[in-house]
Amino acid sequence: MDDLKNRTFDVIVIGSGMSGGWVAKEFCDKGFKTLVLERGRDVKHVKDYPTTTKMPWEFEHRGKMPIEVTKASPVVSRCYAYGEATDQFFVKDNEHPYVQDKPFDWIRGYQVGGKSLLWARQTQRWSDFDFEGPARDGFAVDWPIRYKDIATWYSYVERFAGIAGDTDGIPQLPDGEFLPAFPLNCVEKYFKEVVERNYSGRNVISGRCAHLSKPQPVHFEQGRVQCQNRTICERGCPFGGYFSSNASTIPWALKTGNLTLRPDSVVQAVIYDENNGKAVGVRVIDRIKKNTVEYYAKVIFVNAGALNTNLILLNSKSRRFPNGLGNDNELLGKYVAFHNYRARVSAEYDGFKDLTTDGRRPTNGYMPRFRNVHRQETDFLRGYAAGFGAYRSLDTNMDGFGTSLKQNLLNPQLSSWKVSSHMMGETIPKINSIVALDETKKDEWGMPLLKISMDYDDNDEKMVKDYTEQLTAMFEKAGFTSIVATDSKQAPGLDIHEMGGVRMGHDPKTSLLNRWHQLHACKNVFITDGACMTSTSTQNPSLTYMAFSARAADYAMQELKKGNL
Amino acid sequence: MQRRTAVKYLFVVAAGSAIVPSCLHKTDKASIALRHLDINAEQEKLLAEIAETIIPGGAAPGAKDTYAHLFVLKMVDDCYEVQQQKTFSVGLKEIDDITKQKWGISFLKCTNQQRNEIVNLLEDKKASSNAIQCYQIIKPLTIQAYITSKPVLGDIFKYELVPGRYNGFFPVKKIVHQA
Repeated sequence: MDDLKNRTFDVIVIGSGMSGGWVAKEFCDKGFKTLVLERGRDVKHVKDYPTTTKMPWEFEHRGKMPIEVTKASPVVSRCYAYGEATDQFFVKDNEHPYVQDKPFDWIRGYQVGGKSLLWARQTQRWSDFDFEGPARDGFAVDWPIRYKDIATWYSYVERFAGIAGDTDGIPQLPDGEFLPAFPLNCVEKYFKEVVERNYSGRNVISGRCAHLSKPQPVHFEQGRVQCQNRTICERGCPFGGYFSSNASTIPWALKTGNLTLRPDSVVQAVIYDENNGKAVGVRVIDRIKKNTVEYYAKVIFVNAGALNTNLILLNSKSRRFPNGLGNDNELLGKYVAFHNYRARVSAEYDGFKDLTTDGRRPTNGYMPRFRNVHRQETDFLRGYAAGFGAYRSLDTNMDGFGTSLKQNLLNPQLSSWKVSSHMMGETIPKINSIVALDETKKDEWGMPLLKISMDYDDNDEKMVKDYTEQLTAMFEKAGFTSIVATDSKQAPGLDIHEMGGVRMGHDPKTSLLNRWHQLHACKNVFITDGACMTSTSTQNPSLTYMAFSARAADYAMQELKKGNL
Repeated sequence: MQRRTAVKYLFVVAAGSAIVPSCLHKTDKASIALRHLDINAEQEKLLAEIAETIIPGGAAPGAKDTYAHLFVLKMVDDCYEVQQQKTFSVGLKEIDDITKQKWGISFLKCTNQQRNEIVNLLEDKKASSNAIQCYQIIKPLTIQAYITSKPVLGDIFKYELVPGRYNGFFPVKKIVHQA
């Protein structure tokens, strides 16, 4: 009996990453006994950041991974943030295989904090131009919420996480609760002026980011201090300068005494009880001992990371739900999507020769979506945002050898200004973009492997072309030279913004979740990670997951108190 | 408890005794553990002198001061294809053969002027294909090791792990350390 009591909680949260951390914090703050299950190992803030204070020369391969590793794990090796300094936080391909029906680079971080340790920390809000997209343009299904439903929750999570940004007054990119922005540099500011003078509805701003440019009491209370502009964030930050579950929500929740954090817990399935028509708990396989344990709670949040949330629900089979929990309409695992990050435009600028940059900055310039915002105006649906940055590098003449080479190495020359932009395109969720359980292959813990099948379409190709043309035109207008456009043709997944499969909607016939993130067919199960996304917009999605998580947790607590769950 | 401690010590001693002989008796081995390359102490010295010829010491540090040759070995051993590793090993020997044929002495016994002459040949691609390819592996790795080393990046260029600032309008004329 005691054992059963120890395995029973008010709420179970599956996953300790960006969204799971927020759910845990919200419940713990209000006195609910909360169990967080994390499939990976524990990573404690500061203590478990082994490379965080290493100098460049302390890495024996200067950041590169041994060839055996890159050959055995080609997928993770393609990730920009992966290398000798961050190896410990990334899943290697051979450790957790999956099936690629079509090429998909699935980047994963299995540990307490998940990918919140590794994210790019860009935090732009959605607007109604995003939420109204599917209804206006006739794809996916209508979002069951609008900006007004989420605006206060954006503010709520922004204040706690700490977001640096300017108040820009741009309709498609609502302002928020900002700490001072990291400013644009001279060439970025010049480009901003050129763009805003020549085009209506186009802007260049400082990308809003989850960094403590000026920490407030609530941040000190979390044990976090000012961002020190190190820009080696993916190693974990000893200052807590950027927001992560490890630095913020998880220790905060632990401090309440209401959180039980159980790492090394691979969730096999959510347990459904047909007698009362509810989910009653979760079946877990211990990652190391491989034994099975069940935990019970009134409410279950599945925050395993978009595709793994799909996997768990698909694998949660019962007589009532033979095809996965809540999957009455056979749409679970369908309409998945991602962001199109393929194209980049780079150039040089001959001006501002007397100025350069000093120090480092954890963000960049950002151009909010300007295509098809107010009305359809191109031959493709939706649009793209763009990153934009300017910098001068040090050029070293490496010709020859001996004293002349040495002189050159010790006296590098400042290059002219270089500018670079990359696209962040919205992709359209489609019924044939699918994740499913592989029929035969299983992993070490007996879980079916996830089979992934999604790809670019004509809309994406048109968008790549338009982005390239528009950025080239804007660069020309600014007098930038040596303009080079590239299309990496990278597989979906490398954007690390996989979304959908358990989409929200009004109608149980065409969606899985209602406006409060509850499964239509099993109301005490909530999904607030990337799996819930009905459409993808152009913004880095984490901030929206945080706001969704806090809002849904608040609703779940109200419903619990009313006895409705 | 005491027995467990004793057992633990036993392991430590055993592990130590496994390491010591390899240090004492195999002095012809390279000074760092290599998994793929078969490089002896003599060749390690040769590599160090080639690197030093590429970036000579003096008032400012040279390649040897930054242990650039050990970085070259480590990188080729861990991060290069098997074929490149073979080319590297064979090429290193063939570089040494040039001086032996020319002057009847190893590169190690050559004067600085003779060493410069040999590296000049390698720069001009006037040597065997293996020797040239080996040099083309050594040179960029030596430069990489040098400019990212503590004596250069840390002490000369004053690399900052914790800058704590960003100025996007910084006057070029105020630059003190360019790194």
